[in-house]
Amino acid sequence: MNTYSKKVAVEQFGRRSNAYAACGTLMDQTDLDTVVGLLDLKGDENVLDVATGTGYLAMALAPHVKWVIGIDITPRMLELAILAAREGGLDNIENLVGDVEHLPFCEPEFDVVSARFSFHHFPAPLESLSEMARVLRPGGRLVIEDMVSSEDAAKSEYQNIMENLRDPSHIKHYRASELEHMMREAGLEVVCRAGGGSDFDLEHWLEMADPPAGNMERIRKMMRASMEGDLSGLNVRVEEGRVVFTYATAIVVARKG
Amino acid sequence: MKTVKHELMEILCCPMCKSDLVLTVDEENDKEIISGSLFCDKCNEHYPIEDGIPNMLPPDLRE
Repeated sequence: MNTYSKKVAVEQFGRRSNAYAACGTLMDQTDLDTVVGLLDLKGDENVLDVATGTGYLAMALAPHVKWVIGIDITPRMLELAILAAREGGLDNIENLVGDVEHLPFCEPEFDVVSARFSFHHFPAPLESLSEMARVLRPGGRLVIEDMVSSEDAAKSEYQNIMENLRDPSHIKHYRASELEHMMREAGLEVVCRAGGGSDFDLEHWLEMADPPAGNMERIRKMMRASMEGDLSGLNVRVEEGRVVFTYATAIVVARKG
Repeated sequence: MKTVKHELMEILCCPMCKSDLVLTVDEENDKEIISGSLFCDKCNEHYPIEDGIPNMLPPDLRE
């Protein structure tokens, strides 16, 4: 199950790497600045950016730290990350292919470990958090940013059913409370949190993942059906003739004791 | 001054057993190792370096 899910993710992100690279939410500079600001960096940090993808967070962090290592399971995404870093003139980022549950570092090497908009793809969330915590130095910080679902269990499930139809490598958009609970389970102390929201156009969002046509139709129906009473917790609405919705996002910073 | 690339090679270990690795360089320039491999003696496993990128995936996740 675990290996299968990861291979599905490699397939999905290999196939759609350019679409994800162009995603407005991923490249949102204000959001990236928020993450960088919350970390209050000194300039001498070693950073590991897990599931770095096309490297947006790695590139935002690089000017403020000693160096950043980006790790991702999908080689095609890293190729784009390397090109982008080169174009940006950033020479303190290195990338490697790897798996979050099996990080290739024996010592606690890192002052900061980050994972942005990727945690919902990890098939073993607690094992992943424990492994990220393992490579942190004492006092080092883990920062997770991700979409979160409603604290209402039924709404959370409704949202996650649609996400699975859209992207087979989706595991779960956790409730913010669940995410923090897991970070504590991994032995970390939550020290800081921030929240935000990101608006999406339904058709653009579908196009980015490009699911089978039958699934697209089911998602459209579920999105429309969720408007009455906000069944998905996504505040689905029609604006200028287009269906739009809002993802809630959470940034949680936790410290290793 | 040591580059990030060199530091990275020094801290990489086997993703499975976390043992140290033996680096073999097939091709390099003044900045980086372009191709080669990292070998884990304990697991008897080679982790390839291709186009300058080490592939540290566990064997069952590698294609």
